[in-house]
Amino acid sequence: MAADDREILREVWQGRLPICFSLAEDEEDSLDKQEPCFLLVSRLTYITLVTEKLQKHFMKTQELKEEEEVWHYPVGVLFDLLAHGKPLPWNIKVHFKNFPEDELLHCLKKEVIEAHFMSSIKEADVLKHRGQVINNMQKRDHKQLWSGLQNGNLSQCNYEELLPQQFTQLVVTSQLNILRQAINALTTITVDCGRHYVESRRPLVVRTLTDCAEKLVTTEEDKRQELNHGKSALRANGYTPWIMKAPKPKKKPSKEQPGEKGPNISVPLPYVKGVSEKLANTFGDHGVNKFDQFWTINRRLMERTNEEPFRSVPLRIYQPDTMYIQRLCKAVADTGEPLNLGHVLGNILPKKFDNSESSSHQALIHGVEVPMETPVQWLSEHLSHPDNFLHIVVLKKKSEET
Amino acid sequence: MENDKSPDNTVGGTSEASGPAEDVAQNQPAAKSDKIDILLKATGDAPILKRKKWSVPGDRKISSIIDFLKKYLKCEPHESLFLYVQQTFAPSPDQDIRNLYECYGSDGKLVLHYCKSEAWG
Repeated sequence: MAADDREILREVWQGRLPICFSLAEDEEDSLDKQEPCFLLVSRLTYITLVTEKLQKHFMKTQELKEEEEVWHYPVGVLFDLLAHGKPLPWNIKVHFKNFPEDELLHCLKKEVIEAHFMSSIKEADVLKHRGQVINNMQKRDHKQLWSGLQNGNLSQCNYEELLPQQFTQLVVTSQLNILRQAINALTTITVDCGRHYVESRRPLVVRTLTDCAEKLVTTEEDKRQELNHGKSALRANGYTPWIMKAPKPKKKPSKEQPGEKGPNISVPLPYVKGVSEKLANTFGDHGVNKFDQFWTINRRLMERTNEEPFRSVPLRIYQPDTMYIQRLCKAVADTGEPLNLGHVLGNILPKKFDNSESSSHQALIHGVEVPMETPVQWLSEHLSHPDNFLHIVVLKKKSEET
Repeated sequence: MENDKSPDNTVGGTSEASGPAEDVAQNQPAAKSDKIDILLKATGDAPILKRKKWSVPGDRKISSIIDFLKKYLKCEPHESLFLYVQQTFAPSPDQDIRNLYECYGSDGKLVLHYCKSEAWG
């Protein structure tokens, strides 16, 4: 897979929506006034997994009434379906309901969504490769797919006050490529601050590493060790050791200009009990290492067998106020011609997509209107959700409504 | 299909149990063309159905098929029941019969396997 492709996968993985969760008015009177909860939520996660964070925020049991029936739709699909084009943040009302056996119910729900997620991946593989790839995977691989999605796609922030800072942090951490070895996840953390860093962002990388050491680590000894790890990683990438001490270096850290020409160096950080976990969690919160964790396994599911296109492309088409549509969809026509999105939609929804210039409807994937000429094989490989399905939201074009 | 005693059963005509189509049949006069034949096959230790072939509306959800089977097989409340397509994956509870039939149906019907413990989990 080309490097550009990987960037697309990463962009998709990092797609987030700012959401404001607040109490439903009719329930507010019975409770103390609660501040709304602002979250940056991955487009790829499920609303069920968000409720855990909300529970901590509101310190209560609650359920999302509106979303109840669609708990297994990815967040991004829900947004495109219900609130496309509306101003951000997306406002969601939270309804409270008291379950004494809350924890139990909650755990159950999480397991249900995991089962749903794995079933979707299996179904998608049946469509793509007759189920041969998923059957050759081990249970451990399945778990890795799920945990990559589960923990990697949520980060909490106060939208009003912390968002700019949070964004800076996100930009920086998303540049840091933290790889946890799949075999023994906690023995090494690899920091790859290689040549793809823009020079101007390097001070931010340093600051992030320093912050991690300062904030995460409790004892002085651990702090020192953590800083040493950071230093060794930076040194290997052309930094001088003293840079870790300076919070805002004003000059370029290195004479060697590692920039575009420098080698892509990875420095393994030795495992330190209590430290590495926290560091990993921090980056995990930003969905950084989880991307690699997920795609190490998912790549196999997205590969073509013997260079053949997928047998059929797993996709679902969502429209407001109706059940989604799922149909068999070939990647290549019998004539050998690659099929594009226009062909597929024209086939499934002929009244809405007649392949003329003045189509009354648009198709969104990850919130983006996709050109009708895009081959569906490419779409499947690059824009599928973690469950391996293409989720396409079909909406009436705005101009048509006037 | 040796146990398929009433292949043309369109549900609701017998008193021993109402079929998966019960409430829809009452709420709206679903056109016959909207109905899809499904074949329910037992696997593992699940009891075999006397009647395997059912005709259900296309918008019928998997969850209601499961509820129906649980009732029909007299499952205990704590017991689970799993449905599988092509003996590989469990469709989502909100998936409807039309979508599954269009993707996985053959010979004019959709085959669903059911069992009491996860089979192809």
